[in-house]
Amino acid sequence: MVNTTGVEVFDVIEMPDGVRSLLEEAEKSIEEYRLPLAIFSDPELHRIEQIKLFGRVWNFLAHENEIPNPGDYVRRYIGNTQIIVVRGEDGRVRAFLNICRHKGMSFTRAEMGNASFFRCPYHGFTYNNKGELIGVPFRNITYGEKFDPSKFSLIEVRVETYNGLIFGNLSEKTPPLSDYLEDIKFYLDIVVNRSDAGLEISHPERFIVPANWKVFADNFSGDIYHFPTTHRTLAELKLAPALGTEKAGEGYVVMTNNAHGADIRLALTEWAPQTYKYWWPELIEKAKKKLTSDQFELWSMMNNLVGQIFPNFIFITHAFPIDSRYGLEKGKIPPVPVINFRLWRPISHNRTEVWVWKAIEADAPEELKKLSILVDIRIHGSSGLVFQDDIAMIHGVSESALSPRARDIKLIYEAGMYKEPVKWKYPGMAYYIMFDEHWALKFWKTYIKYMLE
Amino acid sequence: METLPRDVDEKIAREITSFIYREAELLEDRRYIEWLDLLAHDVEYIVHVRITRSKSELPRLSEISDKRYFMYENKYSLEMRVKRLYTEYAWAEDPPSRVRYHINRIVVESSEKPDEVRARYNVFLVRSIADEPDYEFISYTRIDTFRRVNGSWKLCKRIVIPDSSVMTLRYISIFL
Repeated sequence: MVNTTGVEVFDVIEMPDGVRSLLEEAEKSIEEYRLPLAIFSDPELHRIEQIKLFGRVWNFLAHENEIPNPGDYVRRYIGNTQIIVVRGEDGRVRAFLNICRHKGMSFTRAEMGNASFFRCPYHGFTYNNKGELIGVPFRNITYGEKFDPSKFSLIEVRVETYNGLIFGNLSEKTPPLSDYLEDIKFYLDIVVNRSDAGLEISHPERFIVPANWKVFADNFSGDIYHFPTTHRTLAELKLAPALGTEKAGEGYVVMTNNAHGADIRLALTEWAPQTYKYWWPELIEKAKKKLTSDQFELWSMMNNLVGQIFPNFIFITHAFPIDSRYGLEKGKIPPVPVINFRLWRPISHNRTEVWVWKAIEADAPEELKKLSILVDIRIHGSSGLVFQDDIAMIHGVSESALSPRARDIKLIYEAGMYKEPVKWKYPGMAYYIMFDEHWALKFWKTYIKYMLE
Repeated sequence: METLPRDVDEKIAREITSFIYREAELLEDRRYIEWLDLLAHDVEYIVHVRITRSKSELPRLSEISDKRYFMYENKYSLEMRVKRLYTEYAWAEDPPSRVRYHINRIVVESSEKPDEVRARYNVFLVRSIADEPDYEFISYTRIDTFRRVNGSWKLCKRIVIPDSSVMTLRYISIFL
């Protein structure tokens, strides 16, 4: 989004008065632990978010192992902007807007594939997988000899990678990915960096929810308070009884820079056991070496970890029973380990595309790889026993936010405000008992800051 | 040499077609316990993820993912899902959504196994949630395999292939 003068679209965007006053009101009310419900609905707010927020944060695009070979590409999105993430012949991962420089055609229609070049089907402009314009049909009789193709490479998107995760940034001016992630790397490593073999990642499952993406993000900014009610079936089905009761809160809400964070549920009972032991013995040995002793210690104490990279990318590690043989006849099939990633892609103020990936270490036993996809589908996918009830709630909040009254209805963000942070030896700040809205408040403060600055 | 599927005897075709309609009726009426009875003990129930690929790659690469599924179920996990629907806390289905299975172009044919037959057909599923004025739709094809167990047909495999690569239902709280 950089033009030739170095001025970015973020610098010149005009903020409509209605959006500014809503954000300023939210900024004020959040100090009193309140948030106007309308923040989940305004269509103008959505338009500005695309530029001020998603235009400047590091957006998750893909995992490197989705495009392992030269020429491999996937088509992804930042908001409504289509991005081609491609591994060049030189092995380097680049990302380009899926917009032909000539007349703007979205030249790649497939979701994934392998291509040594991209030929726009409109007039035939052809680019190599480094983005260089290498072919202009009938160039001499069309443009004459002075036409310089080197000026019309595909528009490259800034890309940086952290432990296999590829992030893109539409702005050239923001700090590098490493600074953006900072302390959350400690927690992300526990999920993605246990083995040198790296991760084997699934294709994404994609589905459309008529809801605002921020309700998803709000739900994943430390809201465990909804578990005993929303996810009561986990107790009813004896899949994870502790998660359907007040015990669900037993753990730490961890916040780091930029409103990244993680819920870390402690291992409690046989129903919420330490899950690291369900990874295979060789992996545990590898992790001991690969992770720091602090990281390994934390992993070994937890039942699960649900993290969010601000503003819309989720990473999870845990182990879960795959079917009723566990729930009905306890212990017959041990919990299956899995890594889960999710993304909330805003399409409009009231429409979100959810992306779900399953991952597991590439050196996992084959049988475990097969089982881990099953548990991921049954818990985290659109048919997931946990996620479908979340979506029902997320839709309901978005629906309410469409009311004109949503502007003067203030939602409550007071949970845990009586508490002091715990003494925490790991990065970031932590509160004990995850019925706590400190992280959610931080999400909103950070969101408002991006939008207003 | 692979033997091509052939048409089955008219009586069997009629029985299978009638099974498919009865099954749809049970699901529409939310009679899930009776529905489970129609499934073989070793049933496989798969809802695939469709991938949009360029035409040039399609001869080589499948447009059906072998790395991700919307559902990949066995009898145990289907029982778990049904059991969930009978709890008081299956919020995604409370109030229950209203579902219609519009079934067409049923082809019943022989399968690789002599005691099994296969049916291929299209489903246009329409779902109404609460008092929302807009319906949700999904169009897909089913490839079912049936086996006769103690004189009655059981569904032993269902493959669902959606036409869209992005799921159009907000959540899959029902059976496709």
